[in-house]
Amino acid sequence: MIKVLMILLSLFTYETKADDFFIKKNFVILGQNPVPSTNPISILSCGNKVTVIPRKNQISKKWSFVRVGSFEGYIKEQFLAKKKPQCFEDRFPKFHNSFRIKLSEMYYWARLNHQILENSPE
Amino acid sequence: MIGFLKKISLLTVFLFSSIEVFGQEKTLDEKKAELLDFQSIRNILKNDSLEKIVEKKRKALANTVVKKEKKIEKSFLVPTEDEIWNFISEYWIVLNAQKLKWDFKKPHYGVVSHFEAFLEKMGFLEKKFKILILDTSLVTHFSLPANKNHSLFLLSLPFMRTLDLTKQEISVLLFEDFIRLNKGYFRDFVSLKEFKALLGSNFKKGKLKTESFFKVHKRFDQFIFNKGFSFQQQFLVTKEVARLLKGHPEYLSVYMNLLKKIDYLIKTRKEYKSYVNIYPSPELQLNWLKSENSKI
Repeated sequence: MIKVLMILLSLFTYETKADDFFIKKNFVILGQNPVPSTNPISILSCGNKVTVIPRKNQISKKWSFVRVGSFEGYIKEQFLAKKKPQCFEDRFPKFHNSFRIKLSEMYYWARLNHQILENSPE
Repeated sequence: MIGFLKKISLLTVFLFSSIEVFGQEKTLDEKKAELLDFQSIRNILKNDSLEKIVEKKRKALANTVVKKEKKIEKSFLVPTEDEIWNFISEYWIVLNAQKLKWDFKKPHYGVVSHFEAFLEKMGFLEKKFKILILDTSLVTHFSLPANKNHSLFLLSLPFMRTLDLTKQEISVLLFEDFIRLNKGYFRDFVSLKEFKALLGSNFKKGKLKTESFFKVHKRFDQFIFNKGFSFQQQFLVTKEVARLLKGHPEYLSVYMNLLKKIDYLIKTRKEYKSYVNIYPSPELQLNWLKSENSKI
C-alpha cells in the first residue's frame, strides 16, 4: 500500500516529463534569461533538437526553458516546432555553405529573428 | 554382461566400417562425380527462382546507387525565384546592422495585428509579412522582396515619432509599400542577369559564384540609399492605392492626410530632405489623388 502511494506521488513531481522540440528559425539565441536582451549562451541552428523542461514557476509563457547538449537556457516559444521543419539550410546545403557565414553574422541573424515582428510565425 | 558385449561388438563393427571408408583411396572418376554439376542443376535453380532473387537484389542495389547520386546532386541546387528572397533580404539586413540600427529595445507597438486586419479588409487574405523597426531616419520606410506570398517591411521609429503617426496611418503607409513591392520595381532593379541565370540551377559541375549574390546586395544599397523610385513608378503606385482605397473613403482620407504630413516634413526638416530621392514628391502624389477624386 505504501509502495503504491509512493508510485502515485512520484507522478506529481515538480519536474514533469520533458518534451523534444526542433528549432524552426535559421539562427536562434539560447539565452540566460527569458528576455530579448538576454546574454547569449549559444547560437542554435534550424533543425537542432532541444528538450523543453517545464518549470513550475514559469516567468513568461512566451519563453521555454530548454536543454541542448550540455547547455540549458531560454528560447522564445515561437522558434520551436514539434516536428522537424524543412530548413532552408537542409534543402540547399551546398548553396548555404558557399556563403561561409561568419559567427558574428550568425549572431546578428539570431538577433534579427528576435527583433523582427511577424504576423504568423511559421 | 551380455549388454556390455553387445556394445563392444557394435563399436568394433563401426570402427571397421569407418576404416573401410577412410582407408580407401578414391579414383579420379569418382572424384569428378562428386563435384556438383551446376549445368545439370540449373533448371532446378531456375525453378527455385534463385536467379530472379539475384536479379531483384541487383536492381535494388542499382536503384539505391541512383537515389544516392540524385540526393547528392540535389544538394547542389540553388533556390528558385520563389525561395531566394528571404535569404537575400535578411542577409542584407544583417550585413547592414550598424547602418540600419534595428537591434534596440522597443515596446510592442501593435502594428502587426492592425496591419494584418487592414490587409484583410482590403481583400488581401493570408498574407505573411514581417516588420522590422529601425532606430534611424536613414531609411524611413521600405518593402524588401521576400519569398512568395511573403513581405518584409522596414519602418523608421524616428520617422513615425516625428510625424506622430497613428496605427491607421502606419497601416496605410505599409499598404502603399506592399503595393509597391507587388509591382516588382525594386526586385527588377536589383536582379542582375547573372543572378537570374543562377536561380534554380545546379552547380555540381562547378563552383557557385557568390559574387553574383553580393552584387545584388550592392544594388540594394544603390536603390535604398540613393536611387529610389521614378516619378512614373510613384504615379502608378499612387493610382493603384487610390483605386483600392476607393471603396473605403475613410482610409483614402487617411492616405491623403499622411501624404500632407510627409510633404510638410520634407519641406521643414533637413534630415528628411533626401526622402524625395527615394519617393518622389508627396506633393505630386497629392495632386494626382485630387485629380482622381475630381474624376469621381
